[in-house]
Amino acid sequence: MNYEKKLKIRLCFAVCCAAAGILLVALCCLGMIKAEVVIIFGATLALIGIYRIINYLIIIKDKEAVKRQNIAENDERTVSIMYKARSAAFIIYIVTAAVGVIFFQVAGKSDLASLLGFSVAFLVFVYSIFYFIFNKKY
Amino acid sequence: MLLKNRIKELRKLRKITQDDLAQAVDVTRQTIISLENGKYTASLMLAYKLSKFFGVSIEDLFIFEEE
Repeated sequence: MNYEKKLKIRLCFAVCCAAAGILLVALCCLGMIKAEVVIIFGATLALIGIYRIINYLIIIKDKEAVKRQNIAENDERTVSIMYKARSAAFIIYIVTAAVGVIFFQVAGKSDLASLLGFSVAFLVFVYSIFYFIFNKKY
Repeated sequence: MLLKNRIKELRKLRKITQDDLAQAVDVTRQTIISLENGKYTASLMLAYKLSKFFGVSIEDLFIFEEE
C-alpha cells in the first residue's frame, strides 16, 4: 500500500477518534452518562484525535513531508530500535510481574497475585503461539 | 568478527553530506551517522543500496575483520 493512502486511512481513524471523544463529552454534558471518568476519557480522545487530524493534514498537503515521514517511520534503524525496545519491555515486564506475584502472595493478596500470574502466563502463551507461527512462516 | 565500513571515506571522497546520502538510500541521517560510527550494522538491503550508490561492491564497502 502506498504511504499516502496509509496516511489517509490514519486520518480517517483520527476523525473517528475525535468524533467519538466529542460524542462522549456531549453525552456527559447532556447528563446521559453520569461518570466523571468518561468526560475525561472523551476529552482526551477528542484532543488526541484533533491533534492527529491537524498533523496528518499538514503532512498530506506536502509531498516532500510525506516522503520524509515515510522515511522516518520505516527507517530500518528506527524499526530495529523499536523491536529491541519491545523485546526489552517484554523481558522486564515478565521479570517484574514474576517478582510481583511472589510479593503479593507473601503479602496475602492472592487475588492480585493470581491476576498478575495469569497476565504473565497469557503473555508467554501468546509469545509461544507467534514463535510457532513465525517459525513456520520464515 | 568485526564489520567495518568505508561509508564515511567514500562519502567524503564524493563530497556529499550525510543528509544527501540518507536521502539517496531512503534512510534517516541518524542511520548514516550510526553506520559511519560503527554503532549500527546495515541490513543486506541497505548494504546493497549503499554499494549501488557508491558504485562499489558490497565487499569493497563492508570489510569483515577477524577479532
